[in-house]
Amino acid sequence: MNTPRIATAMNTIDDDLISAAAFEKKARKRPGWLTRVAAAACLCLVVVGALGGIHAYMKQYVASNRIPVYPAADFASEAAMVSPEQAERLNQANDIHNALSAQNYAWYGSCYYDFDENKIMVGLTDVSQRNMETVLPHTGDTVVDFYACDHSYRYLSELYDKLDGKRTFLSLLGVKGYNISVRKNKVEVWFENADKYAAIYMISKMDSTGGAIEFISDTSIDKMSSD
Amino acid sequence: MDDVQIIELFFLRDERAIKETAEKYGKLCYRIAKNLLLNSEDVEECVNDTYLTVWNKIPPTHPNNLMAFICKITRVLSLKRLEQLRAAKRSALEIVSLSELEDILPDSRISPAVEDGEISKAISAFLRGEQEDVRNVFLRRYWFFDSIRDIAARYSFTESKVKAMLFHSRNRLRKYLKKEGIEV
Repeated sequence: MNTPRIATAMNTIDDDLISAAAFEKKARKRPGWLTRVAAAACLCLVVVGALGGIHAYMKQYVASNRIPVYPAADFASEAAMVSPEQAERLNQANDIHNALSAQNYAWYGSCYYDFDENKIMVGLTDVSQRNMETVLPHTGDTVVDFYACDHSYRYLSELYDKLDGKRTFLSLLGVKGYNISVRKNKVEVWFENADKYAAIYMISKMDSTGGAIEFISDTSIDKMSSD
Repeated sequence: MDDVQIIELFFLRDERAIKETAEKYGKLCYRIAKNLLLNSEDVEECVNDTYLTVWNKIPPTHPNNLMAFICKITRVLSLKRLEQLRAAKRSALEIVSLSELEDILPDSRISPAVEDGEISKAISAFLRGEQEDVRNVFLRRYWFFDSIRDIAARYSFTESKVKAMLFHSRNRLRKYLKKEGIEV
């Protein structure tokens, strides 16, 4: 084999290129474990950074959308103070609610007993004469009052099912429990602490109409606002 | 001693210039020659011829980069020596790095109108466009004729990575030369 022409032609390439290749310091080989530890540390930093970023984003989302988290102290049970008459009225309201929710009307919202006014209230998203007349056969002899509510029970029920489908994940994010409040015509979600921004963010995103969820925590609003 | 002082000694025709050159660049010259010739007698001879050639060239030549100047002489002498050994059938050695280069520009029958200087300029320009580590790996292999293993150890790469880098560099160089009108 003759010497390839390029080998001889290369002899006069620029001096600085030769110097650089001749004098360049040899790279020190890092031990394998050091590389692995460094990679693991970098990964941890990336994960911590990413989680920090996500947390900050969700906190910002909750703040900018003014999503309130109410203190649990405001939700003391009224049932502890009911008289036998009130208990009877509560049962009536409950029976009407069960009957109407079973019909799965798109416009039915809620039915509850108003302790202060001593009235059984039926909430409809569309308080039309036709809808009211449709309700009456389910109320029997009980007199009811109608009011306009924001969310149908069907929607609240779907929202509840969505939450229930993610209950393990939500419990990891700090959700203690959830239920449909027919009185408030909302799904109530309970937390131990008000700073569970990831859960608040996720659950808020599930509510496509908006305003159908009420967040309640054991910590006070003051504590939350100081976070 | 720095290069300026060594060159000064050559200009003064002071024989210490050879001693200082050997001390500073002897190992580097030896390595280049050894990579091509292997036989230590041939290597010694080539390195000594290098010192003699430098002595004869300086003055009047005043190299800007003494190291590159000396290495180039060693390289030329080593390649010539290799040709002689092959012609005399004293060396059946296959220099792998040379055979790798053969694919790019085999011999003088290719592009005879193009001067070596032009090809050299094109290669310099090509190498300047390469990433630093790719460029140095290429030069260590095809200028200094280091083995793949030595290059891998030098830059803390795996041998397969070095081979892959060289393979892609050769392909890019071939395309580049073709684009520059130096046809294969």
